[in-house]
This record gives sequence, structure tokens and C-alpha cells, in this order.
Amino acid sequence: MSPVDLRHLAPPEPMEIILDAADQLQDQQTLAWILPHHPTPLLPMLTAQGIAYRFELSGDGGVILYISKA
Amino acid sequence: MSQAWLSYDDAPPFWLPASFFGAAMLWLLLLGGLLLPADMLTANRYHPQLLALTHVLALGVLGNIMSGALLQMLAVASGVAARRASHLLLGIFLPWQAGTALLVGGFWFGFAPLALQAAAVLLCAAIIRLAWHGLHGLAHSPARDASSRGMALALLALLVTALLGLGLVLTLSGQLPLPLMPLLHSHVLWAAMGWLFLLLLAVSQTVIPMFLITPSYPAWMLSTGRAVLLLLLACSLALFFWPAQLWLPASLLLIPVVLYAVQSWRLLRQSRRPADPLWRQWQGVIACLLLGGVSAWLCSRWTAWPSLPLLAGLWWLGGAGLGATLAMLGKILPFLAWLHLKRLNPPRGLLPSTHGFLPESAQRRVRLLHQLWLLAGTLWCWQPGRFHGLFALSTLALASYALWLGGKIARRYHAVQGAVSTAATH
Repeated sequence: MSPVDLRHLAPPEPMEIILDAADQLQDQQTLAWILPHHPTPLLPMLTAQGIAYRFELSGDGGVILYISKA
Repeated sequence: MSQAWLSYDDAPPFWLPASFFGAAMLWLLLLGGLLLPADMLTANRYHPQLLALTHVLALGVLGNIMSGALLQMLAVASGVAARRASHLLLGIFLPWQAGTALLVGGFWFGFAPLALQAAAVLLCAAIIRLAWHGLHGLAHSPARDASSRGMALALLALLVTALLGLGLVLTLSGQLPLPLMPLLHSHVLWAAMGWLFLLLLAVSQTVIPMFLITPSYPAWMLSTGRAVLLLLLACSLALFFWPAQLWLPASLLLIPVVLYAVQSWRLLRQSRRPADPLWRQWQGVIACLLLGGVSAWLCSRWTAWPSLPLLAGLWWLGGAGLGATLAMLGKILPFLAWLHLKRLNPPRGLLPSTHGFLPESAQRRVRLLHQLWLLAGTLWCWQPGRFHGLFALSTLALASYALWLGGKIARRYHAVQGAVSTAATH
């Protein structure tokens, strides 16, 4: 699974895309996106939806966000 | 930059900040309406009509937008919940509007003492309520980020501005024997550098890196707010002891403005979203801060040109203040509408994106109208008798377009809200 790069999008579009995908997330499924920075405003919303998340550095200045069902 | 404490559960209902934002646009419309019959023929910073117009802009327009945004940011970014929103509406919003109306009327009709005194009491009550909500809440909040600390400093400065304003009104009506000019200069300094600049400093440290994808402001910028507050305190004391030496506080206070402008400019150049309307808007804000700051500094040394204090006020309040608040509204208002509707769990496909509430093209038109407004205002400061019609029309155009956009967002919000309710009942 290669992460989708959302760094070209205007905030809060990446947040909208990730929350929309989180709504349809299946059990055992993991999704990933590359973001320009740590998505602080998104995290409480993911937690409220029962979504677990983790981060990795993309190596070119970005952050990779992984989400799965908690 | 330390991370903010984010809690959407504490967010006030949409109508609370929206009431402040809507009222601000109505005050902007009134500003245009008052400019039409204004008969100030030459520039005079102490003309009653100019004082009335300045307070329409400072309290009616900027004060409302800043208070509404502050209540929202305190709740979401600092964990200061606005649980009794109707109490905040009664305790802050209503006395703020009534106090501003009385103050503007009091100035417009030639320093009417009863109106000014009633206004001062109402505005102080509203500001004390807002400061109590914010400062008491922040003292008990887990948030220790730069924006939260900056908002606390800005609220303290607002409180001092209001008390100095009360002192001015009581001195003008002969009930307090305080020296008028040091009081007036201190009031202006605390309002411009304390409340407006400190809030701008606090909010931009979160908003600029987030929306324009820039690096964070450097760590030393975090302590600038405290330094500005201490400088303001020292400058106010100096003004009371050496009232003729206005150039000293003006020079000292120009330093943080230049530092902020240089740092913000450097960050904007590293932005990964230079095509975003906010990028150009913020460039304009920085330019106006510098123009306003340098003009105010020149006013302290050179009194030969009476238009200069008007230009300093226009560029600071109208250029930087209104430019920044309109730019922020363009980002915050559609996001708030989207956020509140998202929390209703709408069926798939029903909720538009934030750009569906307000497209970037509309934000660009607001920027263009604001630039034209600023140009007309600059001409008006130069020759008020000749250009007041142009300034009035450009104000009415900007206010009408902003109100139309606000109405469009509100209609879209209610349409989606209604559709969610209908879907829930079926």
C-alpha cells in the first residue's frame, strides 16, 4: 500500500478526505496519506470516530499518517 | 511551537461566533452609511466624527470579529468551553453592541457626556465578562501553547484598554482630574499594540503554518508577546511622567512590529501554498503593519501634516486589522460551518466541502474590494472633504459583498442541517 500524497491540497481539504475515508474504513484495513505537517486539528476527530493512528516521517519533509480501526 | 490543546466537544454553538461576525459586517455597512453625510472637510484626528468612525471600525467591526474568533479559539484550541453560550451572548455580545452604538452616537453628536458614560459602563462590563471567561478559563486549562498564552496577553491588554477608555470618558466629562493626553495616548497604544497586535501575533503562530504550510515561527517569537506587554506598561508610565516624549514609546514599540513583519515575510517566502488567497492577504497585512507603525512613529516626531495620524490609524486598523480579520474569516467561517455539520453525522454526499461554502474566488474578490477600500481610505485621509463619497461607496461595496457571502454560507448551512434532520427522521 503506497500512501496518497495530499500535500498539494489547500487545508482543510486533506482533513475532509481523511475523515471521509475514515467513515468507510473496514476492519483490518489500513489507509495512509502523506501530509505537509503533523495534523493536530484532525486527531481529536479521528479519536472520536474510534480510529487509531500512527505517524512516520516521509523523508522529504512530510509526515505519513496511517489509520486503522481501534 | 508547542501543540495546542484541541477539543471540538468544547466548541460553542455555531450561532455564537456567527452572531459576532454578522454584527461586524452590519457595523461595516454602518461605517459606509456614516461616511456619506460626514462633513469633516480637513484632516483632524480630534474631530468628533472621526472619533465616531474610528470606534465603529475598532469596536463594531474589528472588536466583534476578534471577540467571536477568540471565543471559538479559546474553546477549541485552549479547552475553555463556552458551555453557557446564551449567557455569553447576554453578557458580552449585547452590551458590546449597545455600548458601541452609544459611544459612536456620543462622539458623533459632539461628545454627549451621558451617552459616553453609559457606553463606557456597558463596554467595560462586556470586556470584563469576556476577559473573565478567557483568563479564568485559561488559568484552569491544560493548554500551554503559544496561541493560548498569546490570547491571555491580548485579553489583559483589552482589559487595560477598556479601563483607560473609562478613565478618558470620566476625565472628559469632568469627573476625574486625570491628565488627558497621556491617558489618550496610553489608550491608543494598549488598543493598537496590546489588543490588536498581540492577538494577531498569537493567532498567526497557529494559522500561518497551518494554512500556508510554512515552518513554525521561531521559539523566540513566543516571548515577544510578554515583552510587548512589559514595554506597554513602561511606555504608559513614561507617558504620564514625560508626556512630551512620545517618540520614545513609539520608537520602542516599533521594534516588535518590525521583528514580526520580517519573520512573517520570511515564513511566507517558504510557504508551500503561495497560490492560496491568504498568502497575498497576509503580505498586505504585513505591509500595512509597517506603514501604520512607521506613520505612527513619524507622528510622534513631526506634527506638521494633519493627515499623518489618520493614515497611521487607517493602515493599522483598516489595513492590518481589517485585512487580517477578513482573511481569517475567509478560512474560519466555512470551516466552522463544515465542522458543526460534520458533527451531526450527515449521510454520505450531503455535506459540501469547505470550498463549497466559500470558494477561493470569493476570497480573492474580498481581497480586491479591501484593497480598493484601502486606496479610497488613503485618499480620504489626505483630503476628507473631497474623497468622502468615494470612501463611503467603497465601504458599502465591501460590506455588502461580505454580508452577501455570509448570508450564502448561512443558507447553505441551514439547508444541510435541514436535510440531515429529514434524513434522521426517515
